[in-house]
Amino acid sequence: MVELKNVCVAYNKGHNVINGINIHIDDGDFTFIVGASGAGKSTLIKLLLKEVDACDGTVMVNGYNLRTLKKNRVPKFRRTIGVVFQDFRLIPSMTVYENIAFVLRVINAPRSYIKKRVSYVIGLVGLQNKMKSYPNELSGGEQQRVALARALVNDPKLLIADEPTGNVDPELSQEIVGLLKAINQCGTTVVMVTHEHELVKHFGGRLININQGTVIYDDVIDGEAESLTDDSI
Amino acid sequence: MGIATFCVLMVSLLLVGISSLFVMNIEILLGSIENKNEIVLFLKDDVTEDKIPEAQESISMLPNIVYVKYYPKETALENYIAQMKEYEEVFDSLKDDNPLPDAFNIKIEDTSKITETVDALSEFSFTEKVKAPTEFAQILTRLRKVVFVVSVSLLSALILVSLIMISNSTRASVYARRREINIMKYVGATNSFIRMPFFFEGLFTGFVSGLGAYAVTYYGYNALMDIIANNISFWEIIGVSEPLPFSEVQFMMLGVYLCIGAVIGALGSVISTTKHLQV
Ligand SMILES: Nc1ncnc2c1ncn2[C@@H]1O[C@H](COP(=O)(O)OP(=O)(O)OP(=O)(O)O)[C@@H](O)[C@H]1O
Ligand SMILES: [Mg+2]
Repeated sequence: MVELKNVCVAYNKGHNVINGINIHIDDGDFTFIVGASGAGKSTLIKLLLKEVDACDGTVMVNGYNLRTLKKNRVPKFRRTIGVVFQDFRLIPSMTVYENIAFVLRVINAPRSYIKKRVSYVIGLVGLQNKMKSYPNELSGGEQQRVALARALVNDPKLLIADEPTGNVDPELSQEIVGLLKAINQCGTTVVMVTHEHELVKHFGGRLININQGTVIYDDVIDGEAESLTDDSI
Repeated sequence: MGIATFCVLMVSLLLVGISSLFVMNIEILLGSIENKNEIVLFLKDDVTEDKIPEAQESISMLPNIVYVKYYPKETALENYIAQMKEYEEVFDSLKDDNPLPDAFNIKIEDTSKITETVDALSEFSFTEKVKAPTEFAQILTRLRKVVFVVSVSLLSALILVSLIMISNSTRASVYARRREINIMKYVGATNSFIRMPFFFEGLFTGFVSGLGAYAVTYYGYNALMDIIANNISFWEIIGVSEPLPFSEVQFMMLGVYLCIGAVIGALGSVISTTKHLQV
């Protein structure tokens, strides 16, 4: 669950990148966030992960009040969220497999479970034959899919994807969103940032449009292909 | 972490080790000078032989006394004669009418309290005169204090400096991995989880540096002792006792090197991660 009330974020004092935003996302929702470049979408996601702090308002994510959350509790909070970063953020010194497995090592998961689970999510994004590659040996789209697999591996309550289709061709884009939809149908809340209006029109769902740090549109739109979404998982 | 950190740490440890050995030798030197200086209590002429044990007993009862040795005038004269062989005849004539007084040689424990002890000794009815190296003892006491303060501050400064140098030289390696550290934090790793490998790397480097420093100290100190042993006169001039043999402190040195090395290595590399964990 995400609850933002009158939130503002400023990187430099006096200039609010997020400016009095109000967003409520229920558990199990699927939400598209769109907006022009520089509108503040990535900043919004950084806010949800407590990578940046709000200068005003209320920020509740998965039951944690991020404005009062103690530093030493942040790791535990972050484990309830899976994020696909716009810049992927893969660890260059680790293979694809290790990058994904790391998330489970952090929570002390048993070895055998890690092996099974990582292989499974790598299969989901179709990178079985790249398991031993390093990030710099992958294409942009492949790196993006590794980032998606890493976000999924921990079975998070909330999955946030910042432009997860930014580097792939339209066909793969549809596949990725299809995958996100399927994950959403299994109960995970999904927030996806995109500027591909075609995708939104195609799949439908809740759409939030952000402009200059405020919400200018927030409503559910019908998709053209509701039936395409149930095959991947 | 690498060779640079290893070298920096080893040099720091060597500085700590060498200055400790130096201080320990100075301590030994001061101690042996101190040992040579006894208080001499001359007895009154009328104190007869049978009263000696009683007098000796009452001196031993005083605080700060290590031992009281009876030093009869016959022994005193013999020692004199032995020291001045060429005047043997002169002294021989004195044997029947020994002008020297009977005395006690007294060794005290804490030279800084020598004045109190001398005062107490002078109170006794059998005391003729007390001869004590009071001024000398005061100088020695002050010297000891200075050596102690200087060595403690020197060692703390050295340890602090090595800590700073280590965290500086690990900073480069941590900086190269800062992005990695940030990412780990974003996927939910705790600080201690991220620090673990840095901690062990530092621990290991510190340990190896400690071994290196020990080897250098071992060969260096023994080589130095060889030189001194071959020039005994040199040691006799400056000192009164033997220098500290390395075998007596080798395990302590090894232990201290390994411990300080490991602690500084681990702490230094952990400290340099802190900046990048604030996300
Ligand atoms: N670390 C930062 N320091 C200062 N300003 C920043 C920082 N990150 C982003 N900004 C500014 O905040 C504004 C919003 O940036 P943000 O990354 O949220 O945009 P966005 O909506 O994600 O854009 P895009 O679609 O291009 O990814 C921009 O004007 C940007 O220049
Ligand atoms: Mg962005």
